[in-house]
Amino acid sequence: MNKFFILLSKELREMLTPQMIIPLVLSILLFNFIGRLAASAGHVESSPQFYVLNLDGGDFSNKVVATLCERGGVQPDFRGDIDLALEQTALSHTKTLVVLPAGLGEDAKAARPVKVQLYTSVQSFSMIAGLKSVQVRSVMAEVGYAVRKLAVAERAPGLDQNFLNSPAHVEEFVVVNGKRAQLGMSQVTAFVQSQSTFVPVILLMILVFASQTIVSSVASEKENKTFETLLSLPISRNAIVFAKLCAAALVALAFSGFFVFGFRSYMTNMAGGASSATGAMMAELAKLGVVMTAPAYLVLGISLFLSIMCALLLALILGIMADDVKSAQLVLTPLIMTILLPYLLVMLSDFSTITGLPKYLLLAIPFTHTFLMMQNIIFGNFGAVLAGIIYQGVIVIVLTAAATRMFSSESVLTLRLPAMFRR
Amino acid sequence: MQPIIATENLCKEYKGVKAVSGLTFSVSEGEIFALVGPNGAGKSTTLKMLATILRPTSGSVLIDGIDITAQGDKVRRIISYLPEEAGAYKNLTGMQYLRFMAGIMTDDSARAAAAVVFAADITGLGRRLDDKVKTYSKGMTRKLLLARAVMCRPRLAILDEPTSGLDVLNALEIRSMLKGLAADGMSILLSSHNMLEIEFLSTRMAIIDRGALLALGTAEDLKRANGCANLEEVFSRLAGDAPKADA
Repeated sequence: MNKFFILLSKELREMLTPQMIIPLVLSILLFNFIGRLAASAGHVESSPQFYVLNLDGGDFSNKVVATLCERGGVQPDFRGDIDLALEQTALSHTKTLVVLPAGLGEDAKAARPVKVQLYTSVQSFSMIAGLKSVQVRSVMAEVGYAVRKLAVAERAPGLDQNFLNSPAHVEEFVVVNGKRAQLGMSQVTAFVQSQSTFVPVILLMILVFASQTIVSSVASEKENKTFETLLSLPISRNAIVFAKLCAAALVALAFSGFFVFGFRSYMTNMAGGASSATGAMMAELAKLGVVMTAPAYLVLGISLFLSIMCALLLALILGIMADDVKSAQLVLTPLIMTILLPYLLVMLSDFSTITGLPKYLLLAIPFTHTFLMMQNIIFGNFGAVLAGIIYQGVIVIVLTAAATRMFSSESVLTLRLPAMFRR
Repeated sequence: MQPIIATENLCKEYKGVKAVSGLTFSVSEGEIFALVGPNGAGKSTTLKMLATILRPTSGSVLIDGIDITAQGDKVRRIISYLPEEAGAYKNLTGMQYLRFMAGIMTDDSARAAAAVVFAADITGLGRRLDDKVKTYSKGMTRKLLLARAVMCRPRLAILDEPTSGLDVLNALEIRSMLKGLAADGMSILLSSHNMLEIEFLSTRMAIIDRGALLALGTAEDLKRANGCANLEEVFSRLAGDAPKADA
């Protein structure tokens, strides 16, 4: 077997230890479990169930209750006691009680705004519990609709209910880069965000994992006193560098694949499949150019590959300065920060609003271009896409030259962290 | 006949401190040559330079006529180096480690297979070779590393404290093995603190202190020249009298 592959095989064996694999598998299972748990806890019914307590008892309010009952899932209560009804509500799955107060019918007939009380039984203030507010708003809309329908029938029997409910039919269009599609802004935003949240998280994981893998590989050679022997073997120093780079990249990609699987499962469970776009909607999204095509993914892949190479080479160079695996984590901190900074900015802010020196400093970080790549592709900023890839390529060439030069010289053994950073 | 090692005024400086200062010596083919000196004398630095992992600040070293600075890659094909504080890959078994090293040290698969058999025999670890290196004692690891260093019968074996960490019986066994390998033509450059070992093993020796050469010759030559009964006295006299330089 070629010496390079012998070395690569050794690197993979050293990197793929049970200590590394077991926490990863556990984290994937945990993601899946949390996703399922959150999905079951946060499940919001599109047709929420609720109790209706009718304190008015008149003709009009009885019709309101009957109208509400037509849509199903409504439990009428005519006992006339709020406390008893609330007790019932608290024990039920729905936790929502609508009270039609006395005088509601009179007010509606006299065209006075009617008062309806809504009680929501709260047992936690978690984010998942917050989703119940969606259900409450839905109940309010349904009650309002029922009252309006009956009031209009009473006071203006000839008026078309459908016209009253929707006097102006709005057809919403979204324009991206001059391309139009008949979609709501919220639909487009939700779709793009579902992609642009997922991709940077994966990029972040790959970059951080790859860096940690290679820095630990170099540092453990030093800690386990195998480095000097390795450097004295009849194999080129470049082969040593590239075997470590390839092994770390392979391990990072494989682990990221597992992570993607776990994270995708988590996101799917959290969303409950509600956010997935239908075929017709996808066709409209494709018209806007916001759906990533195969060539777009290829460009993103090239940028990701270059970012991984940058991270690996920087980590390799930093790892040379570490004495052992513990100090390796310390030397890695500046690199992790330069990966996290563009990630957070892309996730939390609009990069186009950043100007001046901060913008150029961010663009000097090679990872920024990968985090921005999806946005640039979607918005057709092909100049920025090309410039980003060329810049990343240049950085990879410079770092490769630096790493191979360091491995070919004695600095690979003598270069150390300043004393204040050593244990 | 061309010496296997020829150093000329070899110097190494770290941040203004002279670790090795003007070492000149040569080692013949099949010779066991020892570097002797107290801690910090510059023995390990000298061996690292000869093993091509440190670069001399000045002076020259030819290994089998090849300049180590200009043609380090070529030199690494004919040498084998065992550092004083060496380890093996903990997640490999002893056998996997030997196979990995044999695969790197030779391009010939038949030669690599023979080297693994030879090394497995030297280690004396038997079935323990199928266990991971991380389960080995210090002595077992050292024997594995020594076996690795000589398994492909390099032209020159550079061994820094070869028997460090071994018990008396194992050390004796290793010394006999090294003598046998030298008799078969392997040249050995070693360092040691153990004067008995040096006297038993080496053909010639260089006593160094603070990076400088104090004396060079056979054990008998040095004892006679210094009027001492044994090498420890020679060492004590020479190293004790050495000028306190900038180290």
